[in-house]
Amino acid sequence: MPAIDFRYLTKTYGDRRALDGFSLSVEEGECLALLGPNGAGKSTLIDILATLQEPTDGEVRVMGASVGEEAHAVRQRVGVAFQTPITHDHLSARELVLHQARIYDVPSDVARERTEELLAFVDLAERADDRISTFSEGMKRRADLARVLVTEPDVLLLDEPAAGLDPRGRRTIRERLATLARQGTTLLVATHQMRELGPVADRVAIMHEGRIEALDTPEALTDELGERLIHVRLPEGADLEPVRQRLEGLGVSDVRRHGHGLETVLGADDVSAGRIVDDLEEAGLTVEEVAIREPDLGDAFLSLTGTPLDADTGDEEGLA
Amino acid sequence: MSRFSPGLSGARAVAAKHLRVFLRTPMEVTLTLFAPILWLVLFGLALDSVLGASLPGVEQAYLSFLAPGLVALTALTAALFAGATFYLEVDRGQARQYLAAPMARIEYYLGLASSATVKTIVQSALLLALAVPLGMSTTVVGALAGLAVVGLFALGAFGFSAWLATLSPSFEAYHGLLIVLNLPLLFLSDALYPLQGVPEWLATVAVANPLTHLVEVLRWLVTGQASPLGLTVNGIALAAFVAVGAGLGARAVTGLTEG
Repeated sequence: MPAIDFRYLTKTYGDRRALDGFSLSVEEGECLALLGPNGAGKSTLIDILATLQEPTDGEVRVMGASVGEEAHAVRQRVGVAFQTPITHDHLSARELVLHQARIYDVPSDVARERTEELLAFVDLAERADDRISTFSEGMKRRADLARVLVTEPDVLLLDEPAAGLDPRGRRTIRERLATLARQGTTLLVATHQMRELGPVADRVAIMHEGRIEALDTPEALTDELGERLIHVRLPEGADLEPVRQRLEGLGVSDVRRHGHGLETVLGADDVSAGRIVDDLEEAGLTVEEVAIREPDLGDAFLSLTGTPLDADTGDEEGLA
Repeated sequence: MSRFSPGLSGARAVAAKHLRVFLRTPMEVTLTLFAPILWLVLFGLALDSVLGASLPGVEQAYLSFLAPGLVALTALTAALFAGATFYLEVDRGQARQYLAAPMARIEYYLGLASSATVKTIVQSALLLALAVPLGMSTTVVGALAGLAVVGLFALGAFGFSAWLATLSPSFEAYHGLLIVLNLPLLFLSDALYPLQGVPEWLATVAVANPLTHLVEVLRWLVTGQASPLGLTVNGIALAAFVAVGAGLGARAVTGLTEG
């Protein structure tokens, strides 16, 4: 039995289709990342799984229970860390976690024991009695993760768990999620930050405009792109066409515009990156930077959808 | 359809959290009580010495007439502003914690309404306690009975404010609406002056104002003054107010699912 099972899931708001009739299963103990930009439909999907919205059409089951007809059973087994962390600023971290336990009627002695363990797990044991209003964004997210985990959900839904965090905060969240994945918790993580979960996710679903464009392991998705990616950055306002023509003259096809430059993926048999740099210099074309790296999930997204995933690539270097 | 949590643990947790926060934010108590205390100390004492019981329809010292009216104002303000807490909880996404929990949606409303009621009773009790040394005559039984009625009224007033919260496009609009509601409800009631001798239109509007009925019941219970409109009319009006308010509030809170 899949932990999560969508069949022909559709959600519309008026004329807009937020989710466009896709099917998908997540196995028990699997970590699936939903990768897509804002507006792709990820949060809508999380809300439907959390029973906060009803699908327009299709069937959704969590641990065998229908989200429409057995919402109570679904809520008992699902934990949700929303994009905006639940914090209640006047409470301490310990009180926040205990509050969640009380809502779910966790026996008080069990709740107290789990709370201490979880606050240690998210590195907040020493700040357990401090009010959450004094916490940084990263600490608030960690406290929220402890809150969700205190009910020991079978399925954990996380909506942009690293949004707004610095590289250290993102690394901490990623490590905690990796631990949960190893422990066998089913994880569904919606993210637009490609490196956030790359090492954690068993599979990645690339979402775009309410559809799943691709679903595979992170390695398979990036392997399809080739071995090397070359990015040529030009000065702002520079004409891209002469550079594109030089690259195509060297036999490099599928050149795409990317920010203030051009980008393409090179296969093993293609011209060398050094030859490209030499050729552009010979032609007297001004380039600011030529960078070569391995393709990542953001490139896979770009390749599949024709649009860049986000503009946070610089920040994400800290997670590599 | 969701079921109730065991022992209404969801509703109890919501209420406990809001009361804990209330105890940690004395500013809420201070702000709610500021205006009634000002009315009581300045307006009450001044007019008490000027008028005594010379106003038509006032059987006792003016301060004893005024104090139940100000307790009603406190109750109204406290209950309406408890809706602001609900507005912010929804606006900040915190309500989603409860909507995604295995409890009936109505439990969230019950938790909010019961904490609003307790907060309102506490603030009303503080004002009553202040009114006694200033000259209001009452009995312990009368005061406790009055606070019980205040609690019932708070259920209705909070329901209305929660309903308005879900209709308001912004917090500023909601807050403005509460302020706009608060003063007309006060002046269009007999909280500050008896209805005998006021223009007919004002007396007519006052009869439709739930605050008038709360004030009259409180005057009877707390200070033993007769109700001009009659306790039966007061009771029916208050019951209708509580039923409609609580119904609207419950519907507004349980309807938060989508979006």
